[in-house]
Amino acid sequence: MDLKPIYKNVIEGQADAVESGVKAALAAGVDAGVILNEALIAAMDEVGNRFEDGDFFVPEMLIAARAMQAGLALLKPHLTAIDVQAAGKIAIGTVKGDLHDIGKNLVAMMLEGAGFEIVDLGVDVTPEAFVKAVQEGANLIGMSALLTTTMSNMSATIEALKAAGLREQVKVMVGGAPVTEEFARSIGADAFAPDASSATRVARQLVA
Amino acid sequence: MRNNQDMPTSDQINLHFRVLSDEKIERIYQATLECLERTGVNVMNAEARDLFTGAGAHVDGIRVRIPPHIVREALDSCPNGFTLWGRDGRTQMDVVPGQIHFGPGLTSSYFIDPYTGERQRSRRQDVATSARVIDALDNIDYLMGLALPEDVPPERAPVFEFAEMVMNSSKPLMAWGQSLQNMQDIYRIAVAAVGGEEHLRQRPIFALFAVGLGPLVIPDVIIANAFWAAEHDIPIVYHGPGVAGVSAPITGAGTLVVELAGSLAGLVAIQLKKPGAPVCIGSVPTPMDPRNGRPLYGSPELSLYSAALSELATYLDLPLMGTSGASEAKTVDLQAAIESTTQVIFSLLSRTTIPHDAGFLDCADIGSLEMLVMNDEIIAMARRLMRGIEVDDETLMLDLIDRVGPGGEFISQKETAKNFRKEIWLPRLMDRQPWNQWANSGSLSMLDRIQARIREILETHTPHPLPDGAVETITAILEQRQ
Repeated sequence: MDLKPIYKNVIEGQADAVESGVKAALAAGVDAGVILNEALIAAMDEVGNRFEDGDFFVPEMLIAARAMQAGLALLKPHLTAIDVQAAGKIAIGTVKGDLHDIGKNLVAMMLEGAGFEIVDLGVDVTPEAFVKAVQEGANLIGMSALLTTTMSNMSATIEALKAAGLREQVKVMVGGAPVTEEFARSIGADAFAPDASSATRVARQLVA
Repeated sequence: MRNNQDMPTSDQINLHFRVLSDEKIERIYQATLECLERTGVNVMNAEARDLFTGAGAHVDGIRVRIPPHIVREALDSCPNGFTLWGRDGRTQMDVVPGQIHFGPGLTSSYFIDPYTGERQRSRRQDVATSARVIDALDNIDYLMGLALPEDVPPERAPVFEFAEMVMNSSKPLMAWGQSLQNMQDIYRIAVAAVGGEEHLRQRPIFALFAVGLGPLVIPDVIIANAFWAAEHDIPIVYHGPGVAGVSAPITGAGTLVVELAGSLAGLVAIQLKKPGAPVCIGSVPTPMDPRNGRPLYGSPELSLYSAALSELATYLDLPLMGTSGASEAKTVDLQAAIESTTQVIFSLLSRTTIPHDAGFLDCADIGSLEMLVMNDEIIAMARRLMRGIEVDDETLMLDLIDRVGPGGEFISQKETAKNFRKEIWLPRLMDRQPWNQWANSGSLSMLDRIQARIREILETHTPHPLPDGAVETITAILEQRQ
């Protein structure tokens, strides 16, 4: 069976068409792992390439990721545990005192599209809430702040992770308008990403 | 009912300009009412939810759906604006539809040092420097920090920012609180600056700048601060934000609905708390950069949507805070001039009451005095455009034309001497010299002249003095919680 239409519909962000295509392929006896690799993942790689080349923009990338997720949900019962292992589990939120969640939401959507499991802690997230998320299995933390007045709470979270003895088992990435590479280093974060698309690349490197 | 003050307009806008027809305005307003009733807003503050419940809105958890009659009643009880005063007791800024006052922006992480030209993290002294420069500029009428200082306790940065502004300029101010304690400290500083609480209540020198979350969220602390301000007779500027394509629909019309609905929801909450409290609505209607989701301050859409919001505010007889004088450029370059000039012209054409953000670069993340001073000049030039062309017997000058006759000259006529200053705008910073004179006077660029002007202000301008003892009181307020 030709998997090209599924591949094409993922790239075009046609979730319904991807779902019906995946259903038809499964019914025709195509191996779920083959559908995953040759249609869904191959399509997202192409989407990534087009984004890097400047042909695709964020909204196109996000609807493609959503279409991919729709197909993946149908495949999951047919896949082995190894096939579906998430790229990582990231707990993400704006730091204590900061309510500006546009950037954070965008990063979460991009990471989800890249295969990460997202634990969205929302806005105004206390260091304790981040600690709890790590205790519950997150291996990556993403913190965001828009204003310098709340930025300092990023280091409070890192200190809380240390105090809980969890710092070694989790990677910490930070971002937001006032955050810089130097600031990230100074508070002992593992990585800094200047925008949502580079956040995906950085997160992949961190858990690789 | 509405307590209209009907103040005269200071700007003469004689050019004809409309983004929205009457029909489109009515359509967007009705859509906004429908959005508030059907979708409603999330209200994160318990007192505000109780007020909405009491008024008859449909409250379901944090979601509050507001029927049109509640919005209309709030619009009826809200005055059509307010007056802010300078702490000198003389400067008066009427924030009412028809008036236009430009101002800078706030919370930028970076500031360009006027002497080294370096982009560096914002410091307390940058707020002081900005306030001093703004105090001397003719076309910037109010103050915002233009730098969010990092060398002060972060949670109290708005208080230090306010103190530096009030000590270095006597123009009206916009304050942001972040916490109720900060609001109270800012209020006490303002009381010290005008020499008593009664003076402040009679002639408020600042408004609270309050920004909701987009789309359609009234945040807890923000509205709590606004309630506190309303109870203390401090006017409020309430923004309903939305970035087109990210926190608002991608279309201009959809973005206008989300932003107007967000602003009006805040206005309604404030009116329910204190009927008659003055509110100026606002928004920064940026579209997103499809490349990364960042709001685009330099985009043509910002100018267009902002002008449309101003027309909607005028229709509702409310003042509007718009955006003007900002750019996505990283330095004060050609792009910065192109983008900010467009915004200034659109703000004036659409009669935006208090455009802010003049002096911003790089997505409102860099405060630049060079940008601010350049915009002071752009505003002056654009104001001349707005006056248009006066046509009457006197200006047609048929008698003069006849007297001079064919082949004659006008340059030595008394009418010319009498009227040229009125007719022909004379720049302060733009160069109009012939090449040789320009070369002989140092071949200075626009940026060179802007920088010279900034230094001249910083070295010679002295702001109006504070009352005796005020500096000591302000210093004590700043130090008490450290």
